[in-house]
Amino acid sequence: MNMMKGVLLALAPTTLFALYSYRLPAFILIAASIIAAVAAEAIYQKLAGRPLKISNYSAVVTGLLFAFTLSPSTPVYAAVISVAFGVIVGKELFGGFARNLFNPALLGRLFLIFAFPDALSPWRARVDLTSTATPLTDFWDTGEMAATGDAFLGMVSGSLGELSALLILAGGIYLIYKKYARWKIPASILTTIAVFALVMGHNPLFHLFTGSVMIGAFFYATDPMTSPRNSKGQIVFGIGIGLIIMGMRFWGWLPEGVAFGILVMNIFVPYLDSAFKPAR
Amino acid sequence: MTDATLWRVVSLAFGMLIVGFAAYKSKAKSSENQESSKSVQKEAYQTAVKASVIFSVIYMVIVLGAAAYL
Repeated sequence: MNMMKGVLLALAPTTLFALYSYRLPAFILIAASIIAAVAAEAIYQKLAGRPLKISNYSAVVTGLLFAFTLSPSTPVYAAVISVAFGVIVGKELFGGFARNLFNPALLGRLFLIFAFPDALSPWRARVDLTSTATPLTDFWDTGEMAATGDAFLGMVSGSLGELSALLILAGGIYLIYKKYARWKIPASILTTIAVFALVMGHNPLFHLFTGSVMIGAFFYATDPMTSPRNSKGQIVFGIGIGLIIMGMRFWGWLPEGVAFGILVMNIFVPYLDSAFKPAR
Repeated sequence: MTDATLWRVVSLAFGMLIVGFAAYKSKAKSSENQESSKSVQKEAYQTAVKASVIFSVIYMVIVLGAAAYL
């Protein structure tokens, strides 16, 4: 099995739970994002005169990971335009698969909230889809922290891929077991967040299990194309992401900073690779 | 599409073009002495793309931050 198929398998429990929780809107957003990502890649490669490489499944993974950042209220046209931006600007302009500097799914997410400021609202409750706040928007507005057990099991609202920390963890452990992901990155992100929360006098489990921390740590930050290759670099990369996430949660302008944290640290990957190059 | 969307997307595209063009010119000029003009062009293109996309991320983050506080 190639790596991309392995990633899709690891994401399967989270995908099924998103479909169960948000029903038809989740199905439409996931399908539209995947189709748009694959189409954008194919069209660009055709226009650029490059061989078609959509059969490596990387665009499928990008489309799915992008869909996981969406709220069930996100308009389909906004999702389609944003994921196409992520694939073309974040990956294809650099020369395609394995040459990109940024995670294309997160670049698409950043573009979504930049170009379509209301695309994520209102957040919806699971199953009955009534308007509701997410644990992080509650924390942001009132300082109240949701029950960590509910957040761990997925009994809270949120974006399609951030509902159940348990299912994400299961997929993440599979990725690490199969050596598709580097364990030092999620370990350093999660440790940094836990220590930061303790220093601030908060329950670290709340900060670990809510928002996109778990999926960000295991699936977005570990993208082998956009993360450091050596151990020390991976640890610094993870600490940087953890600090930005917690900085955003406490003092930033949005309740969540996972996409910002990973994209900003993506910029430093070439420098981390050269700074921590093993001596020959 | 709202006015905010239009303004943001147009300013982003404009900024990316300017930064990319400036990075391309600067890299091409600094590599003038190399023999193969094709490899110079390729290198300059890669530098331009990198600069342009890094600019896009920084610009989007700054605009979102500014929009939240203003």
